Parts: sequence; C-alpha cells; structure tokens
Amino acid sequence: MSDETKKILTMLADGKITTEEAEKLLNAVEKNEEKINTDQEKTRSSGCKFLYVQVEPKEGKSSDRVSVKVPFALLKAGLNIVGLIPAEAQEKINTSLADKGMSFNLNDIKPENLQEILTALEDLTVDIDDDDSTVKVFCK
Amino acid sequence: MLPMIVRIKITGETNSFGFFIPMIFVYLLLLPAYLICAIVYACMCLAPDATVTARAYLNIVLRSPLIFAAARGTEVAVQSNDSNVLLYIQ
Repeated sequence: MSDETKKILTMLADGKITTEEAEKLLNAVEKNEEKINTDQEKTRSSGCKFLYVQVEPKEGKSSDRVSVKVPFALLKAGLNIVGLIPAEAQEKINTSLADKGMSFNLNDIKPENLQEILTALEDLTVDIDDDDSTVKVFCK
Repeated sequence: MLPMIVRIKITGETNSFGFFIPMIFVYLLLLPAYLICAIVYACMCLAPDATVTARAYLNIVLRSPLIFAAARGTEVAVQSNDSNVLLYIQ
C-alpha cells in the first residue's frame, strides 16, 4: 500500500473526507501509479536499442570475427507478425519445430505477453566459451 | 520509414570495394508480388470458407513492410584473415 493510499484512508477514518471523495482520490492515485509504471516500462524499453551477437576468436586461433547488430524494433516487429500467423499454420510450424527437436509453441506468443518477452530479452546475456572462439549475445 | 540504401563494403588483402544498393529497386521488384497477393486475396474472399484465412494472411502481408522498416540499422560485420565484409542497412 502506497503512502498516498494510507493518507486517504486515514482521512476517511478521521471523517475529513466522504467515501465518494475517498473513492475519487484512490482512483486518481491508482491512475497516477499506472502512469508512472508505464513511463518506467517505456524508459526501460528505450534503454535497449540493439541486440548484439559477437564471435571473437581466441588468441592464436584463426577463426573469423563476426559482429551482428540487430535493431530491437526488428525483434518486436517479428514477434508481432508471429502473433498474426493463422492458427492452422502455427500448428504446422509447431509440428515442424517439434520434429526438429524444438518443442516451442508459437501460440504462446500473444500481444499481452509480448512486452514481457522483450523485457526478458533486454536482460539477456549469453556467453559461450569455446576452444576456438567466444560467443557473446547481449542487448545494449 | 523503409530502409532506402543497403551498404556493402568488402575489404580484401589486395583491393577493396564498396557499393550501395538502392532499395527502391527491391521494392519495385516486390510490387508484382503484392499485386498477385491482392488478386489471390480477392479470389479467396469469393469463397466464404476461405475468407477468414484470407484475412489472416492479408494482415501478415500488410504488415511485412514493418519488418523492412524495423531492419534499419542492422549491421553485419565479418572479419577473416584475408578479407572483411560489412553490410549495413540504412
């Protein structure tokens, strides 16, 4: 419970405001909190612009050095399009993925959990240390 | 906004060259595909059973330019012992 909500309830208990006024104030506080949360979410989302994949060879090894920079907007657009694929086509894709050993359900990607996926991707860091090279996947 | 230029730069041991691909030509090449899609969609709309499916696929086709637009800023760089390749979508 936030400080504002406590104050409103105290004022109501003291009889300084009516129940209707308290309801209005609580709604206003709720809206304000939602706005703050949305702004924080936006700030967090805008902090991560690109997904990087970097392959660095180890010292003395002659493997190629690869650097891929993909805009986060591209991932977002891709995930949005996945949500538009018709159900029957999604089933076929799921079956094909399962045949290849990837039990991933495309139906799980829905508009409501899209932001959740993107937020999770922002925190993503993958480090693969091989004999020949190092692979890094991260957002920046 | 759709990306308008793809820049490719190849640097070798002896020589190097870079070139720009104006994406407007790619979009013009895709135009017939869009026209065919429009005709197929119109035909599918005539069959009541297929209308729902047609709408679903049309949504994907209509949103495909978003993928191109979102690809702006993509950069791929490969460095090997004898050559370097850089691809940049802008």
